[in-house]
Amino acid sequence: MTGRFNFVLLGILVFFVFISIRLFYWQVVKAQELSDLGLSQYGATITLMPQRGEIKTSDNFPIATNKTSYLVFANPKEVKDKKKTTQILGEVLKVDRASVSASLEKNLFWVPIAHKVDPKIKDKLESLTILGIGYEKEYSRFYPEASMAAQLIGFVGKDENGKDKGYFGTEGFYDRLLRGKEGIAIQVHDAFGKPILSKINPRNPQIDGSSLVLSIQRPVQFLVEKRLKEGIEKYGASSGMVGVMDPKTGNMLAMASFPNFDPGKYQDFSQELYKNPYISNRYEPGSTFKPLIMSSALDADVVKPDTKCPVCGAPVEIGGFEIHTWNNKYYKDTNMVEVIQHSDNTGMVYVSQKLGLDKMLSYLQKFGIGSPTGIDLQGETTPSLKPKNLWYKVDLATASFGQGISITAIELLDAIAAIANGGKRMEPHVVSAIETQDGKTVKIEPKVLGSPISSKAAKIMTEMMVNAVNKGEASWTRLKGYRVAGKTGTASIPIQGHYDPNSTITSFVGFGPADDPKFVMLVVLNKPTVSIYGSETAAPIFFSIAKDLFALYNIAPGGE
Amino acid sequence: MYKLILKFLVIAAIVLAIGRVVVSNVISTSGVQLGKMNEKIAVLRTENDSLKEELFSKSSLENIASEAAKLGFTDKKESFVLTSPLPIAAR
Repeated sequence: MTGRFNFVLLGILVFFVFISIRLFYWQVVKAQELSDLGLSQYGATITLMPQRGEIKTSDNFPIATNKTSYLVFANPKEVKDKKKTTQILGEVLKVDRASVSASLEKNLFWVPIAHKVDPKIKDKLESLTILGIGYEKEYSRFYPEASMAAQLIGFVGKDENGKDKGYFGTEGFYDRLLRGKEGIAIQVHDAFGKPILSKINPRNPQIDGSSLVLSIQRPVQFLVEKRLKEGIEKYGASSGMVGVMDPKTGNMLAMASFPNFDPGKYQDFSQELYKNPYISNRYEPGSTFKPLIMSSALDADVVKPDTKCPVCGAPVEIGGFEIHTWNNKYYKDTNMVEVIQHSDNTGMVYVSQKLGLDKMLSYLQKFGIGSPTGIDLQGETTPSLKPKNLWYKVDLATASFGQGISITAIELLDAIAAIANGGKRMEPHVVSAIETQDGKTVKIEPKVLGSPISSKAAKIMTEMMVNAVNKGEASWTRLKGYRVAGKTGTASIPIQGHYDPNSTITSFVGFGPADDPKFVMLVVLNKPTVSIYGSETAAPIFFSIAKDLFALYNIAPGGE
Repeated sequence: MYKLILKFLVIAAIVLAIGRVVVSNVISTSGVQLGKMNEKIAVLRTENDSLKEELFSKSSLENIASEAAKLGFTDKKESFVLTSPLPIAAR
């Protein structure tokens, strides 16, 4: 009898152990798999798209923001008259009818028809009450100032997965900050696949992108673009660019180039226009490079303002090449102040020889020539300086007046800003603060990159540049009553191993007021046709902008 | 004593049951109200977005400049500066 009881007890125990093991298998081992299977039967995981952060100018105006748009989708199983629906959708949404038709033929409950649809078009479509068509709110990028600062802002396009992605400028550089973080939620649907609740169980809510506050001043940007556009038309140039910076902080106040594009309709423009020439295009700077070499020589104490140039009475011969002045006028025993004033190439050859290759390369590196400035924009390219062993005597000579050496406009602007800032070089940047979604504002502090020259050398160089403005080739266009330091530039354009005899790149770089600079500016015109000289093309644009800036900043004339 | 407690419990149960019916009845319509409010919020948000878009477009410098030009405003040719006279003692 006891044996029978024990047998039954054992049987029950074995049964319970088996049940427990099975339960463990389904509830622990297979738990996730079954949960996912269940989810696929009653709902689907959907991605919650975050709202992209805004880009604001220094006056808090959103130069890049978001506007409401709609995703138009269809449930092919609910669409009754597919031919008519295809026709209406094609007409109203201006989309390819073949692709709409193909989408409606799919054996699915949900197919996207068109993204970023304007609310007015959505309203029009909604009023037609087409069965099986639905709408979901989304956001698209909106640029209220249209093409203003286009190459500096960049644009928002699509990545390889069809998601929004910033390209070029700040949109590209700060893409990860601006785009935020996607969220995940479960969309529950009924047995027929229709959604019965909009969004439940947000597993990870989306985090909207941070906003950027630029150092760009909207009125300055507007004025600069206006004057540049007028200048390009007036002087028949093929393109042009202007950058304005606060030399004390490295804050970019404006950066413009023409031709440009509309970031909201970027697809309608050539891809060539997307990149920002101010940070991406290399060119030979010509005489605007002279202040860097001269200030280096002053700092190294190899020349003084009254040092006489013993080789300036005639063309200089170096390594089989003869170096002339730009106008073939020669000034015997001219001093260093006059070398800058007359933009004397032979005088600069003398200065470079006094400085020597080692020191010149060292100073250029300290000025940031040959390395990226670190500006917070996507697309900065920097031509490196040639290795020392590849420099010939003639290269040293031509580099002293800005030929045979390629730089970007931002490199030169930043280097000249160092002279304006008492010898201290600042890192250029366009974003001054980041506003996070939790209400915090992170300020980006100015960053000192080094001191290429002493404040004494910077002061002497400033006076030389003021003298060049007041007495040099561009004196006809200067602003009377203001002390502005500046230098003209007219550079030949290298093509296939020689220089183009018919066209030039003209430029003017300077800062004002010279004693307490509020801005440093570089104007570059590509192939002007009315005149080939910087003093007759880029300089008037520089001074027309400077005049506007003095008025804008309430700076009264204070003597020259 | 037991009877008193029993009576109290019965009365309490009845009161609570009635109370539950009343509360359920009152809040049963608030779901609809909540839905309507959510709808209203969505409409207002969309309207706000569209007004913001219009505001930004109208306050863009490009638009202000073209409106100013239409009204006949032109660029100033020359600017002048008013300087305060030196004090008499310094003359």
